[in-house]
Amino acid sequence: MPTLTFKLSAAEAQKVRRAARLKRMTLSEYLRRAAIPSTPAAAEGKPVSRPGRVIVATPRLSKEIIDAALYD
Amino acid sequence: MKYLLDTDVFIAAISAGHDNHKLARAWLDKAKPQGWAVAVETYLSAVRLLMNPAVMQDHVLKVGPALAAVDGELAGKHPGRIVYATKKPERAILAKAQDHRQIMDFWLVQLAREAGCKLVTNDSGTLNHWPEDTLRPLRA
Repeated sequence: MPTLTFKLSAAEAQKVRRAARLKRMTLSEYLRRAAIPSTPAAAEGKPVSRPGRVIVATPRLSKEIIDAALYD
Repeated sequence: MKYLLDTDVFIAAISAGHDNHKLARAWLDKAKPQGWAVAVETYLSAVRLLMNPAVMQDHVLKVGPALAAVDGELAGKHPGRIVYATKKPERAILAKAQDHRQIMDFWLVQLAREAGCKLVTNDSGTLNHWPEDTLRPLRA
């Protein structure tokens, strides 16, 4: 997986880290979501829903995001 | 009943945007006829996640649709059970936790044991620590 780096001031860095913390996201996830607000999966349309097979439209999710939301 | 799903696997199965959605969905569809369940803790966590704006962003659900989504997945031809605790947490199990996150994971291991099934999880720490009680959902 490629890694992107960019420069910003110390104050900006502090602001971004704080914003990520407030959203209970890792810094990577916060920046990824800011840059790519909607994933193709989420934009596919109506969720499929029938008893025993429910699929909900969501943004990109990962185990990391789920854990961050549940445990912190 | 054969399988107890942890929250990440359950949410992955019902969330179109989850990185593991296709794998979890295919695995669960195939596993359901063998008997499956979620702990009441997982049920509640799934509802919380679907209602959490930090997680769901523009797709956040209100309580009615969130409950309907979770209940809908548990319904159908091969309904899932909700497992409740009948015993208090075992110190011998929880004492092996390395950090706060593993307390809930290891509690689910205890519930799976009591229900006579395997805990289905992608959590490497839990899988490594309890190989006899857990399994990773592999492609069906």
